[in-house]
Amino acid sequence: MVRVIVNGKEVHVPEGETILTALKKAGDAVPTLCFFGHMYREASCRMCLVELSNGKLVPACAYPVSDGLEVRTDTPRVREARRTVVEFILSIHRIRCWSCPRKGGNCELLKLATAYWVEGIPMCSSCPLYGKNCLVVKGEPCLGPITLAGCSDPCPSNGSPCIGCRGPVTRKDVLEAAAQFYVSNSVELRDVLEVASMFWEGLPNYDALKASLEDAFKKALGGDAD
Amino acid sequence: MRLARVEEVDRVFGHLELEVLKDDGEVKAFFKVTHGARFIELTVNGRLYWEVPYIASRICGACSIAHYVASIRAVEHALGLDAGEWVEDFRDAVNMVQIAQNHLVHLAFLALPDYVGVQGLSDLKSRARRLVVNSMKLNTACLKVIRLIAGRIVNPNMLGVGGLLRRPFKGPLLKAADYLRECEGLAREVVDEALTLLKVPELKDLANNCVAVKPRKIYLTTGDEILTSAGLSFKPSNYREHLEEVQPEYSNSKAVALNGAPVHVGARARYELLRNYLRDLNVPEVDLSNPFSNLIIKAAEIPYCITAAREILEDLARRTTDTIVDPLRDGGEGEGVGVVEAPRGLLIHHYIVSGKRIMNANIITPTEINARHIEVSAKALTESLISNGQPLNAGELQRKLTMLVRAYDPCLPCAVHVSVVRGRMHA
Repeated sequence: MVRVIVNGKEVHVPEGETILTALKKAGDAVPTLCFFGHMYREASCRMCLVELSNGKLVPACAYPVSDGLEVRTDTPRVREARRTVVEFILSIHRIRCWSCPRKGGNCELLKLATAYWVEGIPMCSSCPLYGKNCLVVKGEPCLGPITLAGCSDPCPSNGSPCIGCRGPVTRKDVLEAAAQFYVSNSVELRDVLEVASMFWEGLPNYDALKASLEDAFKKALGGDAD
Repeated sequence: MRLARVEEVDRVFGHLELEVLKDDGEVKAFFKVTHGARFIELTVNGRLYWEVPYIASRICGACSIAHYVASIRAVEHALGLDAGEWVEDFRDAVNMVQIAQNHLVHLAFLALPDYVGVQGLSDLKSRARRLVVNSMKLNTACLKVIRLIAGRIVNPNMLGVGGLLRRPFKGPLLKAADYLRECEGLAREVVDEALTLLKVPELKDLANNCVAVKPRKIYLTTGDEILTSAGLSFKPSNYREHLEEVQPEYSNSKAVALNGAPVHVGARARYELLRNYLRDLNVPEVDLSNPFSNLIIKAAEIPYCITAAREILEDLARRTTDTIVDPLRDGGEGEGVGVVEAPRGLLIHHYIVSGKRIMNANIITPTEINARHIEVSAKALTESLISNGQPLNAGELQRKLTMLVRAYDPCLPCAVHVSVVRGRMHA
């Protein structure tokens, strides 16, 4: 057994185990995405970064414990690093929340993004309306696909469409995919912009957003494949 | 000569000023709304019809449900939709819980400190701790019920145009009814204690002219007819023939007169006109020509609303509904007026719909209607407190005028939803 100090608390774990085991024993959870027990431990997502006493940031799921190791899980550096990690992951994530099986409160990425203040995931990720109940599928100009998530969706869960009060997603590829989704359910750009104008017209980037939405719809109507 | 000027009334929603002058031997009162204009009627213009109730409910955070229901009913009347009895009852129940909560906040937290002789809520708590704590409990319970059955505490969003947007489940309805049953005893206790503290001053205002919505079923349910104290009744769609809106130069809000005379709405008006629709509303002896009696009737309405809402919810849980709508439909052409009894009285929403869009909107809020009547009451109050043209006690007059304004409970953010733009009045 070796002695590990987690956030000032002493725990004893068997030699050869990782920091994550010590953290679990100490009851200080860190977020993990790619860690799957014995199946996969390549430390590729870097979500579980922790800070050692020498100032190094190491992945908890792969770093072996040693006697007297001091670990801190919630320092400004750790938070900043994890935030960057979420941003990186999100930047390569193919955002199609409206057709994702994890939508409706099961999205790990959304939870992390909310916890580390990273924006860019659309409302659909937490919307509880699936399949034929989806308001866009019903042909309504619900702004869910292009509105930022994080409001715990009171409108869709009560059956009324999202009116975009939380602000727009500005990533071009998301807008294009959303336009595709709108077009395939015969929702018109005019209606979407009409609903969007209530909260977004005053935004400094509204003109740019409108232009990209128009482009995205044009592209979607032109039949360009996703 | 200026007799009194109340510059800022605290413990009301919004900003106002009350000035009493003596001009040519006659006392004149001016109810000046100094709250900035909000242009909700202009915002609504040109919007999709299903969006309008969401926007209109933002007129008031305190009584958003009343605005929401009135707006929905106006759009429904314009499009010729019928939501059905179940949905109408459901809306009534939600509105009643909101009325109870609203009255409670006004009575216990805003008005009562005046009558106990303290400055505000924190002082009241040291004098009547039990009352304040119980009121807060009751307030929380009412908000919990609203969240449970309507989706959200403020600006709820499941009461759609033409029906409900989400299928209401039996469980939450019964759970809400249970919460309300638990509240009943508490409400009676709070109101009894408040009424013992509430010793209203004697006053008679001369013009006792009032209007209220004739209820569909029992007291405080929605309806499609407006009753007046002159024995007149008219359809909401004819409101313009009877109610006249004018924009006083000194105020940011409009003022409404019924056939040229000042008119009041609210709990006092409801009790005067709708006694026949009552079912066990225990009101102590009141002089209805006294504007302060508004408070007593408000107090009595709290337990009534909670009991009535509980009965409606229990009844609704027994009847099932299939009503559920898709919010966006084809629209249509038409003009509709929706009226509802808001906590502060008669509320009118009037829309002209063309296609899917609202072409014109006119909203009359209770405070606008009361505006001229507050002046009448303030005049009567001042006359009772002056002799030989001088106030007997300037401080007392000022204090009584403030109390009078609070007894009417004006909601100024509602009143200023539209104002004069470049000298032209927008409907």
